[in-house]
Amino acid sequence: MSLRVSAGIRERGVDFDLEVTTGEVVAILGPNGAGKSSLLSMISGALRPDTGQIVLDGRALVDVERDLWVPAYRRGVVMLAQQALLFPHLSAVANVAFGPRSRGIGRKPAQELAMKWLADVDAAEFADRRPAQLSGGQAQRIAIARALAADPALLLLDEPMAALDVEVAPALRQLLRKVLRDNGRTALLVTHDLIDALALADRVVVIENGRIVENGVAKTVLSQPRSSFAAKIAGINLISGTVEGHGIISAPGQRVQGVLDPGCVERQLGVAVFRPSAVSIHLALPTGSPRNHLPAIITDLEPQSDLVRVGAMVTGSELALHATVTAEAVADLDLAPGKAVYYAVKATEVTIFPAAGESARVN
Amino acid sequence: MLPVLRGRQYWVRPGSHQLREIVAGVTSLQKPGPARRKRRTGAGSGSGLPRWVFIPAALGGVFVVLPLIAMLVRVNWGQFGSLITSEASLAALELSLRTSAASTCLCVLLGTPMALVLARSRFPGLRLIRSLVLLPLVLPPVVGGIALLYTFGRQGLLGQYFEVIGIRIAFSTTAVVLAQTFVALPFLVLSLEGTLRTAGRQYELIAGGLGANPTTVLRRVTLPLVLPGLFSGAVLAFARALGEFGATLTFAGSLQGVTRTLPLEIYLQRESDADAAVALSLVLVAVAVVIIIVARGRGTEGSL
Repeated sequence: MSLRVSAGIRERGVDFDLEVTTGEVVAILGPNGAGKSSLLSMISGALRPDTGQIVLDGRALVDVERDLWVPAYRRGVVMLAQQALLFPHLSAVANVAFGPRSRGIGRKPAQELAMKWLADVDAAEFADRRPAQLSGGQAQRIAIARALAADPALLLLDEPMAALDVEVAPALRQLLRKVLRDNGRTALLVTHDLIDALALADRVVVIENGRIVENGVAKTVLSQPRSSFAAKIAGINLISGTVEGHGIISAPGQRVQGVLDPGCVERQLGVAVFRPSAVSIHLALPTGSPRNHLPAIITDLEPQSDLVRVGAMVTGSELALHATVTAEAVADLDLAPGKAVYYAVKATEVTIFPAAGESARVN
Repeated sequence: MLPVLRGRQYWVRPGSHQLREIVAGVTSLQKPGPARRKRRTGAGSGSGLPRWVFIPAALGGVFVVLPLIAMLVRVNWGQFGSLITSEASLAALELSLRTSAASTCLCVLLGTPMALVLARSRFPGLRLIRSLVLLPLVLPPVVGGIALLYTFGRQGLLGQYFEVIGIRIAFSTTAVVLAQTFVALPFLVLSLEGTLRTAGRQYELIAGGLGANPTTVLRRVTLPLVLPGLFSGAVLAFARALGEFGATLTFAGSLQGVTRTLPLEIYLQRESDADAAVALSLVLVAVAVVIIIVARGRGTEGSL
């Protein structure tokens, strides 16, 4: 076990119980003001809990009962925030070398170490630039290198891609995936974006009103949400499998076509994501343009105002899918639990992302 | 006001004053056309100010500049060189520069930690301490001189003990430096504290997270980041020290070459040799102008 948090701040109405094992990446989702930042701040040392304790790698960082408080600079916890916040008076390479220098490593070796990390994030060419001469994406790359060069026992990521342009985010997500997963980093990732959670995290924790309300494998939490927040952003269809061409092959052998995220690698694990409203239900095998049609047995009907959320199990698998259709459609097609139908979805409505999660840990 | 406008901000040209005008209700939200752009070049328009404000503003400007011109007119240029290079003048100038430099150093050494504590720490009584520290700013310098005399004078609070070990401070060059430091210190503290607050703690928190201990954070992050503010504060303190008169005269007296700084020399010369007083005044004006140019050149306009 690597990180154990069981701490709270009464004044803010937050109280968390969280355990993270070494090498695990945990995504933290939740509405604004739920207490995500409070959790990170307590772990990083910017905020003092008034109950409980925080233990990292067997070392107590905070123990309120013993009146123990380790200052931020002795915690081995590095935070990567929305803004890169590179020291404006230092060059990129000096920024990255800051952590090693602070650990007492000499100027020369620290410089070499920094160059290695810059190369790792594909930013070696910017080594001598000042932060003012870098774009947002470049600066965030260097901030990642700086965080990793400090050799943290725990990495805290607070929406690291929220301030970036939409075009830059996928490349950075890919980079984070590489540095987090390939090196077995222990990390907490606060995000609004469920794509981040899917692509980067092993586990998802949902925070509402200062408490952890859900805690589980990313795919499960996002496809079968129990908390209202997760339901709002999630409730989506997820099919995991192996990336092949313009789609994935799921475990039962179903092929799902979609639009590939740039991070996808052929024959690696991926997950197809599409909204229930993009699914149409057919009684016979459709012959139109939609590329994907999955035979399924309806399991449940759940009215949602004037729409109906129709749950079904893909034939010959344990794969649950949902479609949102109008009440008229349900009546016309005489949909009921046990009925065999086809779920059809256009390939353009499906996005394929590289997957993390429990299955990715196998390789 | 801004959040209401946020959805439409794209109408606003970057770098224009249009947004401020929209907020003030001066212009309506619409695409900027060439006609609109032209209208703003007329005198007074675009500033959003009523025209009559420019009259007292101009009057104020004249009030500042006119005395300088009057002095320039009165300068005896024929003897200017010899007036400012007389033995007494040179001694006063040299003493002024020397003591001002020394007191600026003292201000930096003492004022930087003071500004750091005031800007970053929180403890009960901090507001009171800040008010007390800034007191010399509003105190008449003569009063400051008296206060210093009763601290470091022969019978002063500390002076009596210095006297025992054979150190006399009052009416020495050291006294000049102390008097100048006393009046100049708040300028540096105030300027630097403002810069520190503006800079915020975000970079310091990052540095701490990367494993830097508080001393390293101070040395490698905080101080380099506020260097412009420290510089402009030091320039302000130097300028204030150079012009110090009241506290110096009260606490240090007026001994040529020992405590008679340039302002004291000017005041003294005014009675006997008006030409010399004007010439020396011009030297101080020149120094002041150089200080402003240097400080502005370093991009410290806001704080100076």
